[in-house]
Amino acid sequence: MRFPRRRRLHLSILLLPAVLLVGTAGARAAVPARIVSTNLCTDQLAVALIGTERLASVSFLAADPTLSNVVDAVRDLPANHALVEEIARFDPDLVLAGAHRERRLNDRLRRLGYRVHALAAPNSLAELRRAVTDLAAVLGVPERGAALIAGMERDLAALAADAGAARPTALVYRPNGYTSGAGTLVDEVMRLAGFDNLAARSGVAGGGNLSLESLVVAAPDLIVFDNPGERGWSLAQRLQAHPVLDRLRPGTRFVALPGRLWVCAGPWIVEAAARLRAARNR
Amino acid sequence: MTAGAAEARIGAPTLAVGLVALLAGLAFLSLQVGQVAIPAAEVLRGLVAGADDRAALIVREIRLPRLLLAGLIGASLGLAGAALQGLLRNPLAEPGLIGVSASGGLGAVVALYFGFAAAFPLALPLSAMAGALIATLALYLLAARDASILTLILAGVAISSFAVAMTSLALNLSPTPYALSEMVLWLLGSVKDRSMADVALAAPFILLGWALLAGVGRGLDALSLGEEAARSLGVGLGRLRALIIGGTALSVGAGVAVSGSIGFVGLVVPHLLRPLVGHQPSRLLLPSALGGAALLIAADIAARLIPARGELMLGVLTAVIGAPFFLWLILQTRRRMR
Repeated sequence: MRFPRRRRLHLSILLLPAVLLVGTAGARAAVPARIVSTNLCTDQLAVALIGTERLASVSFLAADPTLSNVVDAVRDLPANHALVEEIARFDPDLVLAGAHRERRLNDRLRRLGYRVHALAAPNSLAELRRAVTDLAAVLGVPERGAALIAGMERDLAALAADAGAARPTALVYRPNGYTSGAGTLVDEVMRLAGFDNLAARSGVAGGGNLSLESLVVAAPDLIVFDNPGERGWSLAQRLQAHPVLDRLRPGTRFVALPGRLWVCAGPWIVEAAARLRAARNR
Repeated sequence: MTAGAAEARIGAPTLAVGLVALLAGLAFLSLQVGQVAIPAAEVLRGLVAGADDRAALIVREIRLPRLLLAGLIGASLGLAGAALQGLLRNPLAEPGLIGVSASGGLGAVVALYFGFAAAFPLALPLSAMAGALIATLALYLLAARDASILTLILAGVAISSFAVAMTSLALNLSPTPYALSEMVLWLLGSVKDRSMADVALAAPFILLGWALLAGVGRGLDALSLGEEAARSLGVGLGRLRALIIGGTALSVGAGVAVSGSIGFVGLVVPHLLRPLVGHQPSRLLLPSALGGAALLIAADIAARLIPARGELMLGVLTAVIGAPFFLWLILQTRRRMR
């Protein structure tokens, strides 16, 4: 079974350019092949951009249907809880993570020699565009990122074109009275859907809590609950069932929007805007 | 009854009238305080049926329920404290200190965070009252035979610590993402953002508990002379115990179900009032209920007025008042004994 010596040499010389070519291409783009995502938002954007083939693991929240839009896609992927040892077990060539709460984790991972791409939560559509473009470049699929953004812009433009003259008022009321004011993606989505966000107008910048009394005074046309569901068994969530909400004034409307549509920024915010628009036209 | 105590005593009607006036003033103030400024005249107008604007809505649906709950719960704690001190003949008996509140809180947490209360609203007060009842019974069995202060306190510490630990465990196991962050509420108590639905849920049981406790005065007076003397005076001790344990479990348990546990009220109020009414337990019951209500309503006003990120918990304020007062009380007692 031994090849003649000359023949073997000949084979390797033939293969050498091919090996070199692959090697240099890999070094130039460094397309990661074994990716671990540790954050719900990077989980979803990564699945939207490259599917699941190159993903070794996603965060455990990606399988939670109240928070995630990619439950079916990640069904067979192992879950992680953003722990260093867990991540190391997958020996990833890229780790996707959040930028704020995970800062310490990211530092440790980088010190251990892992490549980490940290995604800061986008607070506007412009920041979302930039985040998707950056992530698509890191994942080696810039054209996929551009297509995703183009599709999203097209859908949002169609929604905006449909806007009427009247701008009814709306307010997001999450558990504990948490709402989104000026300078948030939620605020931008509400405006795109044709609403005047009362939280922004009553001075809430970023996220903040609005007292029940202030809500009564604001008396919005539409109150948006999010993340409703069968797990509403806490005092934080009981606030959303306070009887005063039913007596605000005649004609106050309520819409329940699944939290998964805007807990993370992504193309699914188009659906959030569309559902708000539908509530407006109802 | 010593001459000193008799001298210090003021007329029971005078004291009751004074406390009711204090309560009325605090109730008026409580309705004025909120995140939205409403003129006093509008607040009063809002209470009247028929008024239907936003100010009326805020007063009737947001401020009134928290006032009522603070009053009902404060009165229950004061009353139960006075009754337990009489039954156990122990000045340190108090629903918070001996673990009755914490155990009621455990019952409420189990009912709320696993969805039982969502399916069946009465599960919340019922479960809390069951927790409070178990703790009161356990405490009585552990500490009643031996009237030493130390036994009572140690039993209370054990029951209380166990209930708090189990509450934490239940919140950890709950599928609700908000559960664990609400631990502090169950430990320290609040009536923020409660509704008339919460009042309707707790009030009937609280009032029933009061009804049980209202009839124990004569029995407690007799018991203060010792069990033998009480028996010879024809007091049914079994019935007396059952009334106090049941009344405490109902009134404190149902209150904790909607507010979380609030400490020191049942301790401070009877001690403050005892010098005014003398050492006869029966004379202490009504003033303790009124005083407890006044103290908790005042604490709830302060909780809204003190600038802090998020509203202060009621138990923070009652402890700030209660703990130093109690330490001072211990020093006073020791000095008098020497």
